[in-house]
Amino acid sequence: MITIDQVSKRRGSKQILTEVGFEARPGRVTGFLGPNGAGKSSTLRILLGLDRPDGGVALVAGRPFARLRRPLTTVGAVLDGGGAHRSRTGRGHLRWIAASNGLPRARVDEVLDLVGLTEAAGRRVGGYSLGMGRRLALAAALLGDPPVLVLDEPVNGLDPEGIRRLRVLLRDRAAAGGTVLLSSHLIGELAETVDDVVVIDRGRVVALGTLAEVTGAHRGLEDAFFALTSGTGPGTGHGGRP
Amino acid sequence: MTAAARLPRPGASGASGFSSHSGTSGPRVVAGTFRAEVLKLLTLPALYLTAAITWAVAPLLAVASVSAAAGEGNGPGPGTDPGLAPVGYAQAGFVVLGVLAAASEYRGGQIRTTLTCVPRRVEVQLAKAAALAVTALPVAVATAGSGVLAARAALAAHAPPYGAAGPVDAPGEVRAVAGAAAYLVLTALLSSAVATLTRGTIPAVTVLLGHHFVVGPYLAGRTALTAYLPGTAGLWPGGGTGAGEVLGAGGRWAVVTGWTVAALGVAIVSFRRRDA
Repeated sequence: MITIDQVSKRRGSKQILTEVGFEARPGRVTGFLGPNGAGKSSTLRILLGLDRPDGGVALVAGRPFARLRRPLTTVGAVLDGGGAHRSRTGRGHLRWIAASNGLPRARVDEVLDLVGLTEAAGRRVGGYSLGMGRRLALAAALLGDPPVLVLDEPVNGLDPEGIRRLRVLLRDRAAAGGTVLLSSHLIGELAETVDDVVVIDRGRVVALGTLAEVTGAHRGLEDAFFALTSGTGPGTGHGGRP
Repeated sequence: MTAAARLPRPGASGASGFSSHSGTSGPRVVAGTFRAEVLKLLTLPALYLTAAITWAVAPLLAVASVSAAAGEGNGPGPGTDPGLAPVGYAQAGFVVLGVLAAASEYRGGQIRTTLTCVPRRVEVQLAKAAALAVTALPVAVATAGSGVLAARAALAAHAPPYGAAGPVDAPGEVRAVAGAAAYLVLTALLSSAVATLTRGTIPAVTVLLGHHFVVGPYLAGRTALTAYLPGTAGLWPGGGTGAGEVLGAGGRWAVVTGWTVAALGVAIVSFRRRDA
């Protein structure tokens, strides 16, 4: 269970989040949608205790992230950028993460196998492709077998096979009672995976509900998205701001 | 029942059950934080390279300084151990060691991984300092020790009065090596604090080496205040001359330790406050 309540954040003179609030519930995959720069990553960073909000609270399993004693057993996070030092091996990266939360070392090989990185585990992260880096980050998120997964743009850099495997994994986690929150600006990739949708634009939540509720009378989630956000809609090419 | 028993089997993408939100005891959690920081340092190739170069260069410099002193007919002066002369240069290696250890967190967004593993920021920084001290200590002892051994061998090769005519003062040398090693560890810690503030390798190395090797020595002959700067006061707290004319050995230790503790304190406060 993830609860974001009235979260606001300024950076310099710019208001990047304004009273953002939503929930991600157990047993469901929640898609957090918005154009680039809408505030998705900022919200997730506050949820994970990386950034401090100017107002509001973000709770995981009823507690602020910073209060979790062994966070990896509660929340697995995949953040933009991979989060690994390039001169360490994939296995070396996962080993210190496992040690930090007192997880058994055998678990490292299990998650490497789970994401298909066993062969590359002894290679330096700097030599990984973008997709391999994402899979390593996913492996790190799964180390503690947490009931909550938070993923920032998880499909970026994945090949079609990787996207399919991720989709199956996320659906399975939710089916087992897990809470999955993933952000994306790729609406098409998301429509088949999510149960609930939160749409954010310019730092404000502009729509939330089940996939059917948010899609509403529109032809599909993509049309709904462009109608709800400042995106200029399909046909103009970039989906950017006017 | 172990956590591993309930983890999904390899190959199965689904989860049969999830980890419990186990409320483990404090000391074990902190020990995990420390172990993770040690593992990080031990898996960084750049740190091995820096340590190896620092250690290898120390005896060469020791021999060179003995030869230079003997060649000039000065001999090693009272209170200076030629084996420890290279400590001044070895501190450059420990500056790099400390900076790399801290700045490596800011490559590839690793700091965000660190904080999603251990959100308690003060604990993270204290574990980092402890891990750096523990890993830098053997390198420091090896560096200072090999310098002394090389210098003794070089002295023996010279004729008296510069040769090793007198009895070897073993307890004195052990004390000198211990002092030099402690100073080098403090140098690494101070450097890691600066790199935590700058979050980058280049600015931290520039500031520290610039201070230790350019600004400090430049000011040394001009103002007595340099006695209170970390690098020059530290040259070297175990014994020696220069800034030591103003401060006694105890005072110099206090200055170096004080700077290190203060820098670590400022780094922790900054790290605790800022967005990661």
